[in-house]
Amino acid sequence: MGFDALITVVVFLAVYVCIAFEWLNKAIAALLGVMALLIMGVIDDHTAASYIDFETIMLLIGMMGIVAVLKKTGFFAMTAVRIAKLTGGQPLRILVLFCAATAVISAFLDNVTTVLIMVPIIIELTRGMGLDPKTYVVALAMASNLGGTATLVGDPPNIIIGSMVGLTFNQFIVYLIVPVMLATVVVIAYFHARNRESFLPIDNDLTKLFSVQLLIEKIEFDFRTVKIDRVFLTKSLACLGVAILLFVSQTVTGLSPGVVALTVALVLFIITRTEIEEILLEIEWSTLLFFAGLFILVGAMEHKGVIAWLANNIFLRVGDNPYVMTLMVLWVSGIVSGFMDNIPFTITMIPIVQTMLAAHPVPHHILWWALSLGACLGGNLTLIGASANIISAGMLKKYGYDISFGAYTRKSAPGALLSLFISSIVLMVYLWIFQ
Amino acid sequence: MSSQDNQNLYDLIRSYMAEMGTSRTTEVALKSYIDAVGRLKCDAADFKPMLTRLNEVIKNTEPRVIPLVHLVETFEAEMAAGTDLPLEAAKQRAMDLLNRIRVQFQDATARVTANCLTCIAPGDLIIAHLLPPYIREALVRARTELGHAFKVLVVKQDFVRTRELVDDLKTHHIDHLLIPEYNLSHYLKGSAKFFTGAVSVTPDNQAVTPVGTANMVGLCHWYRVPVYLFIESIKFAHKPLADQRIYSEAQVKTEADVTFHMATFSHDFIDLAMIDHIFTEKGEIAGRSGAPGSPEQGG
Repeated sequence: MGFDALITVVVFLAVYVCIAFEWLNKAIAALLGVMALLIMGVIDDHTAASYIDFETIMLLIGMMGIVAVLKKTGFFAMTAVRIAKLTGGQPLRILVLFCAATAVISAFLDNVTTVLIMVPIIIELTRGMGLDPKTYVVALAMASNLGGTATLVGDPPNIIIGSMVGLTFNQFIVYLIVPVMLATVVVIAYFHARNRESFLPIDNDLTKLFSVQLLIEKIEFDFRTVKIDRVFLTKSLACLGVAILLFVSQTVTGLSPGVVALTVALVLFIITRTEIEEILLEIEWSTLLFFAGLFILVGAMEHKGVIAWLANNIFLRVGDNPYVMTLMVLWVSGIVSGFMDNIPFTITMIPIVQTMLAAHPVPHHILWWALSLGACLGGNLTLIGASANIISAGMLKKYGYDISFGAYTRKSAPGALLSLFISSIVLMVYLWIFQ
Repeated sequence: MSSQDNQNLYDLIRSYMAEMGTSRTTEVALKSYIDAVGRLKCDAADFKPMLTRLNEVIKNTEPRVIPLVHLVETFEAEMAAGTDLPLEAAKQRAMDLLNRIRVQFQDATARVTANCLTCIAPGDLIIAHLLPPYIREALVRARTELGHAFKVLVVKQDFVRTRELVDDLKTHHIDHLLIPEYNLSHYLKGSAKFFTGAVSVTPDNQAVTPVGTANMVGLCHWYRVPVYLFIESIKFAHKPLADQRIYSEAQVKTEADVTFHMATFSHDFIDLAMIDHIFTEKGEIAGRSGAPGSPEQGG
């Protein structure tokens, strides 16, 4: 490695430290790093621009746009209220139905949006029943991260892996649906087993039943503030359906997910006559800038030979046994993602995994599934592991239920480790079948 | 149910009343009671004690939901007659009784609406604050069924309920204007009328109303704008104002960099002497204008 490589590493580590300790906004830290490399002449601006994966950026903008319109339809609030009614106030049904619905919605839409709608309702429901909302909210945030792992568009690490590596929507579903479903069931079962007394039925207590019925009526009144425009909702859901259909038929149409998402979003804006300025305010520009900055930083590291050095001297040291390689990628990704943002980690890991695969091929993209499962499910380890966790804890605090890093981790970590363990078994089975 | 559970229920009913008003809270509470009895699974011997416990909880809410308290008392009295029934029969009897009481309450509310309708004339300027659903319905029917052209001055305070009113007015093309409470004095002239509902009316001649109502009634009284109170007679309380469990809350607030303690009460109270017309489901009863009857007659 030369002097330029050394500068790149120093800048990259400085950006990581700033992000990890929250000294700077993530987007500003990443872009400052890019500016430092440009000023020092390590890379030029044309090369820097070429490192940005526009497929990922298009996919993110498209999905954010679709979600922004869907939010306006009242679809999320309507769904959440229907689920609340369906639970009948039974504690176990609240846990199972809310987690299942959150996982399914998160598989196709943004996790943060999903928890933003679901968490207030589950807090209102559980606290009104005298239950501890923390357990339910942590389970819900975990379900959101689990569900997001199942599809290409569910979670940013998958969007990055899918776009940069060229994996299809169907491949994600085929390989990840089994570990994700198993892990979701096990995590819900774990929460039930650990808090068995909180989930006892209430059918034998008239006053509790009365409270619950009253509570559900109130939730319906409170959360149905957005008027449902049926035509608007139908158009939005139809567009989402078309997008999913085009994701699924990617191998036939040849259209990449980024092109599909952005095109469908634009069509949706036109047919719903949405004010584009309103939608632009909903797009998370800082996240997109953060992505762009990281793509450039990791591109520079790759270009300067840093990634190859890391892959050869750390990851390839484990040898060429695919079982060991898979477990290493899964667990390293899982543990690291529990403590730091999984987006920069995934962007950094992609060229490393590519180098590993070039040296020792592993069939059926299993190393990529290991990276996806590790980066997404590892986010459940701690409070800071995923945006959905931070948002959920923030909402708990808003309702007067403060949850510390330690308390959150004590509730979430065993479930996260269980889900990584299940993923390990499933990946081992895949390897055993395909080798 | 622990005392904490009871407190949760009180908080729930309190927030319900704040957002939806007494009539709708009563209506929803009765529906919830019926559903809860329907879902209950217990031994026959436990049923009656459970009913007694829930009735006690309902009767002790803060503030008291007077119509609900009265209806639960009626339910208790009628239920006491049918003891020693098997569980399913006892549950069915309880649900039937509650259903009948609910229908009676709905009927009384509908008749108050009908009486309210007679007070709306073409060209009126009706000042509205936190109107209960049955007065909102009267406004809508005056426009849609009677074809009256009138204007509603919506005094904005609690936007959850103000929004409902504005939605209704917009949907039915009723001329309206939204104003802040502090601008009300500019509109108190001509054919203006002030419409309000109340949580309860006490034997010591006080109407318990949503916060903000007392100021407006005071201003209307000063400017000789007639004040109309529409209320179901079941909201007439047995006990005086002091026993209505109006609660106060101390909050720490920060505005414009100044932190201060603020005490707020859950409800206002208004002397009935300030109210010109009181209508129940039975028609107009005693008001300042000297109409026949007295509040006690209503309940």
